[in-house]
Amino acid sequence: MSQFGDLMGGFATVLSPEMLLFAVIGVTLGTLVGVLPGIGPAVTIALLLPVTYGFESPIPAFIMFAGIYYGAMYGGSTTSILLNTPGESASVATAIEGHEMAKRGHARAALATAAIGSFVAALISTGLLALVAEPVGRLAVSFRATDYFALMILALVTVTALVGSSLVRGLISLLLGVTIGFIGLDGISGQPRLTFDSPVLFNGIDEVLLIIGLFAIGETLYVLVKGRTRPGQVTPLEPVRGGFMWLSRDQWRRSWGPWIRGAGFGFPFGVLPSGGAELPTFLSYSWEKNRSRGKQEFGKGAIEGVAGPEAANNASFSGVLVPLLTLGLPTSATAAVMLAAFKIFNLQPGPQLFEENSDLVWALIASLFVGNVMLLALNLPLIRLWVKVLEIPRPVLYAGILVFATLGIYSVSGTVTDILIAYGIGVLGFLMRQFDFPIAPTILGAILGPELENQFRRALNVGNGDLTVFVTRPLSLAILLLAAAALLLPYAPRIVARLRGKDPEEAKKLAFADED
Amino acid sequence: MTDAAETTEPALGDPQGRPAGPFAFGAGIVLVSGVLLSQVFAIDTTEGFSPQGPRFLPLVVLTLMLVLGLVYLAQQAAAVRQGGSLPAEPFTHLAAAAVLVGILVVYAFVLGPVGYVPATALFFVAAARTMGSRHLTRDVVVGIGLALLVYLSFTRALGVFLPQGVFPL
Amino acid sequence: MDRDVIVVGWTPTPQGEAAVEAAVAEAGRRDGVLHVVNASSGDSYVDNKIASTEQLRALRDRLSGQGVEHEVVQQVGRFEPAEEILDAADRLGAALVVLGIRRRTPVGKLLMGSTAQRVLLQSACPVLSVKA
Repeated sequence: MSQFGDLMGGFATVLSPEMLLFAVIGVTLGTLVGVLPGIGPAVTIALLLPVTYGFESPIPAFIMFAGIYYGAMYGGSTTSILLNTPGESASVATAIEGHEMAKRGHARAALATAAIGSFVAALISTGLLALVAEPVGRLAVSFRATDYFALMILALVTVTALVGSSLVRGLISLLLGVTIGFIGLDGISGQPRLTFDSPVLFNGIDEVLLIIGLFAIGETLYVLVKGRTRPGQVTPLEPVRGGFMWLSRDQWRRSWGPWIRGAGFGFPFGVLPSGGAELPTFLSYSWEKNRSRGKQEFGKGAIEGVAGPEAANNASFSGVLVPLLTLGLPTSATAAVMLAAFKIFNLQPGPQLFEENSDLVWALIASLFVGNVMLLALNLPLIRLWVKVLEIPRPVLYAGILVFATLGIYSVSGTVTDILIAYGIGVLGFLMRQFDFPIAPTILGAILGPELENQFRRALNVGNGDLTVFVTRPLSLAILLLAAAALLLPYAPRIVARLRGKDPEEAKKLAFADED
Repeated sequence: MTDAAETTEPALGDPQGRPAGPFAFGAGIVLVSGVLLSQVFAIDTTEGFSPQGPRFLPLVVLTLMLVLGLVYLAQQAAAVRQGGSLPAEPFTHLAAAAVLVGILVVYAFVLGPVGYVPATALFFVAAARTMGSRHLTRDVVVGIGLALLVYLSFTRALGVFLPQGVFPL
Repeated sequence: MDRDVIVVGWTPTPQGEAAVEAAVAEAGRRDGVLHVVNASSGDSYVDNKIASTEQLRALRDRLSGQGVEHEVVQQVGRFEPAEEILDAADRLGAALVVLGIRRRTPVGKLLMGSTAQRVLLQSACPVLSVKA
């Protein structure tokens, strides 16, 4: 059990006052942005990246980032249940039954099953992460450049295929991102590319500018143009009815199964490139809806419909960390931003990370446990405060977001040109939202694109420029075929329907929102 | 700027909405892909278009994007012929958004010379007004407070440089 | 002969209830009609001062039950609540405006403004304010 010893070492690092402070900052900020619609963990981490430039050690930064991600998940479930406005796309499934429960006077039970379920799932999945990370890392040592290339293609294609409602628009978003990644001096030949001979662009477009522009500024313009929406009303919390942690004995009995099943859905789908937490939450939701003991209560506020999806969305984050830490492969927008953070600290995620920076990896994993304990303690008592945030008038809220966005951009380089580039990207992000182009593929494309090209050219150098190297190695070929199949995945319901001789119009395309 | 908006439901653009927006955006994608494609040929290399060289992947990616841009336009044209259009949100407050972008640009330019705190406070008030706020006192108080808080915590506690400008703190 | 119109600023809160109670008493005294306004600027994501459909129906039922001639309107996303109340009073030539008020902190008033204060200072007709 060498992992156990390593994990204990991680706890020793994390359980110091300074590290705990960063964890508290992370989970608090995360819950805050999780409560706010349209702003998610990806942009928050991007805004904080410049702050971490001055850190000596990457460990506190990553502890804070992990806290932000989990915090956002908890915050998203709060607004889903009390307001029926999911703060994050991964909380959409929770809102369906959760808000019904709240309307019927079971708001506390819904919040509790969501929070405790998130906690249980995070413990299970972080345990799994601790177990599988090192073996996967060892396996990854045998991967060659062609395999890495194929894996990256797979990650990009599946995220693109699953996010948003049109493959054409998704692919355009993806290629736009990859193109942005090309801008600047070519890493191998040193030649400027797509710079229009302007030295300003020689260093390329910083990831922070891209993420803040696309998410924070694009979203603000989008909210402004969309105009006012009718404000919601917070469902009041009913008086405490007893039970343990707001759940009655029967509710505990009905919750634990969905929690564990939800974690079971969440972790593998996080590991596989599937665009983050949306897919497993909906799988968990429909499993509980069709199979669980409370299935006849669905539509009227079934606790299983809250417990399962919430567990799934939290478990998927630990899953996402597996390819990120072991292969350097981000499979969601948030993971892509974390990859950018690794670059800032000159860390190369991948098999070597576990050997060269094992203290960082294990501290990060330990901080996931610690962060979830904090969230469980913080979230339920502070719900009233989180909801107050939504009473801030929108002009004030978004003017504040623009202030922080500009601050984040300014602290990257301090030049007016960079600020203007980020604003330009913001206008692009606004237009993409207006015309229903998904944002996540652009971010992934821009961050993963340069690495993809490196592996592509490295593979060709080994194979003397022969393009068939990608299809002669069975592993690479298999992954590439999987990627091709993934392109068809969103149409699977329609194809299945046609095979069964039903009207394909009835079968809707699988699609998920992409905010984070 | 006053802004007497009706309450609008967050629905997708009405199916009879004007298709001009998506057409323009599609044309923009095609145009940008075309211009960038021409830049690919400007990349200086001795390797031509060999897959190992710096031109190959940009060429592939931009060609694909150009083609997909054309497919998007074709989809849009087909949708219009069937009496609908591709999803596009209605542009209800476009003027305000344009003003906001203008304010952002001004903010970028004055940040250095004027200093972080006054520029940010002014920007906050202007941006909040543009987005429909009608409480000047509130905006001024929050704007100054936020600017001071950010300036002090970032320069003193986090060691990030922010321009001091005309009012030294 | 026109009957007196009494405009009431109402929210589903203790202040709002106090205002409606006082306005019903006043309507009985003058044989007036009530015009109840529930308004929000619609600026935030959450506003608990907006009455739900059920709350509006409950108020209408209650006023009908008390035999008061009334009209209940809700206006979201147009003006600030104070402007809505003043606008209604102006339009209907109200004889009286009734408001429910509560203790406010100076900071709260500075940041959020005070609906009651604006109505008191700007109304053309007498204003009856009731503390919840």
